[in-house]
Amino acid sequence: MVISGIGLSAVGRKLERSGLQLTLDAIGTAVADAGLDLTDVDGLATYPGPIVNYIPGLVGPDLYEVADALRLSLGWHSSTPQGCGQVAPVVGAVMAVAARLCRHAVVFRTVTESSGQSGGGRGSIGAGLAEADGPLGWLLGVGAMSPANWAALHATRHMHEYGTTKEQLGWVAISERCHAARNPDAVFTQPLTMDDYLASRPISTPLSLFDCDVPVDGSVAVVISAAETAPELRSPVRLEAMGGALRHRPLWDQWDDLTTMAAHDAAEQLWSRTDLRPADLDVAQVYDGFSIFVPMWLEALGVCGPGEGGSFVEGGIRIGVGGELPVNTWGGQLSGGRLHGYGFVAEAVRQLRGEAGARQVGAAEVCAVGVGGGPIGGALLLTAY
Amino acid sequence: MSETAERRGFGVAPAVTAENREFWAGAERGQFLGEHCTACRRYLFPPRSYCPGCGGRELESVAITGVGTVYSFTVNWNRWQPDLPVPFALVLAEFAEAPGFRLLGRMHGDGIHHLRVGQAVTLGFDAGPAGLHVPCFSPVGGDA
Repeated sequence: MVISGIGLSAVGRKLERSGLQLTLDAIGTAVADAGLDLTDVDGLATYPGPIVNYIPGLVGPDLYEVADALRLSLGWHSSTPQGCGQVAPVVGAVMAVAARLCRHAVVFRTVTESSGQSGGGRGSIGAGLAEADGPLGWLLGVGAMSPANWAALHATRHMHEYGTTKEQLGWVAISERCHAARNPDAVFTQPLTMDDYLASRPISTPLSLFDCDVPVDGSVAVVISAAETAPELRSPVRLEAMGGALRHRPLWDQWDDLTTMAAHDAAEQLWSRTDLRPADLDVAQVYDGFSIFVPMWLEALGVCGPGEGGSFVEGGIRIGVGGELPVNTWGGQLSGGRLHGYGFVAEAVRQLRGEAGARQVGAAEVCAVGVGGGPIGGALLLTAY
Repeated sequence: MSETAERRGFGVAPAVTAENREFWAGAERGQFLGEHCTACRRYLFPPRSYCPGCGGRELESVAITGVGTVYSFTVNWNRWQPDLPVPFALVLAEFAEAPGFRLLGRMHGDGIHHLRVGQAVTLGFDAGPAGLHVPCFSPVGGDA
């Protein structure tokens, strides 16, 4: 399987453009980027699908709305709120192509969280809900109203067990801001100093404002194509392996060891599906909804040992463009914008094609993508074609 | 802030279900009820009338009464709702008497800015959303 195309709409704060328009922009760009026509597209998927809009702007346009707008003839389609994280529809698309239900599947992820939340700042999960079903009830019912609270529990425990420091998390934010400065699509590009980072207001300790991703409006579309179509494609990237295992209790408050996440299960499965090893990675794009997730993803991927993630990111040297393993070279969700997992996929493809411009990592041939935090996680391994 | 307002819960009410109804009834009586499988001796939470160890469907309710230990915590500063009183602390606690049991709740008392993993906490209940009594914690030796 290959990823044959990527497309981004405009990405920014309070764009005056509906989720549907952003989606159509992104899909059009992605299909053209692949060297295909819309009539070639016979698969369509998205995350999360029609769930309760827990956070304003989280849920993108309806899958059927998009399919009908484009008048697609579909061999396969799916939306997946529960699966191996935000990249679950990518995994689904790969399986659908492998099963020959379709040849070219588009996966889109659209957020309008900047417009959705303008006016009051980021709200709680489920504001306006009369009651919360299932596992979320145990969190919301006791006042743990935001994923920031849930991620903070991971961070506190990781700091306790491994001595991870606030400054180390700060290096994630600082490094990504440096990367963002070279990304024309990034929302925050002004340099961030450690003083700025440490002075930022606390959100849920130990996480402060610059430890949290920035809501944006934007859409990303990715085209997954059957490998045998490669001769028709402009610049495919190989999908070498994927992982989305979930082998522990799938709840934020009941996950057995909070110094780990579903990322660890997903990454373990990923590496079991390939002969490549962590040492083969040239670049990594890993979820940073909250800064703590970056060192945890690096540990999960075996880039460093358990508890060594803080040291790995410290100073921003290893994870910088010229470093041992550049991470989130597009600025991540902290500075590039909260495209909810798909900014990482798009950047991985750009790096492996040599299309990352001023932030291109030299000779990038192997890139890991890790998406999700807490009990939510999926991983992809992409290689240059 | 008055004692009542300080102890008032916030958030969204959890749905009361066939599986957790007994838990919430216990909470109203000031009891924290966990499920216990007599066959394989597991303590289970949240309650689901099902033991994953042996498939047992008849579980006994046990009241957790002992001191808890802080596994993790966070102090929330952000006003997620306009009238949310901040800062407040959330603690994830474990209980020696019920291995594998872990409970999240608000932490009361004057020491919320000096919390430590491993410190001892006692269990209590706050008035929560929709009239439910939700679990909360207090420092050992502090007022509950």
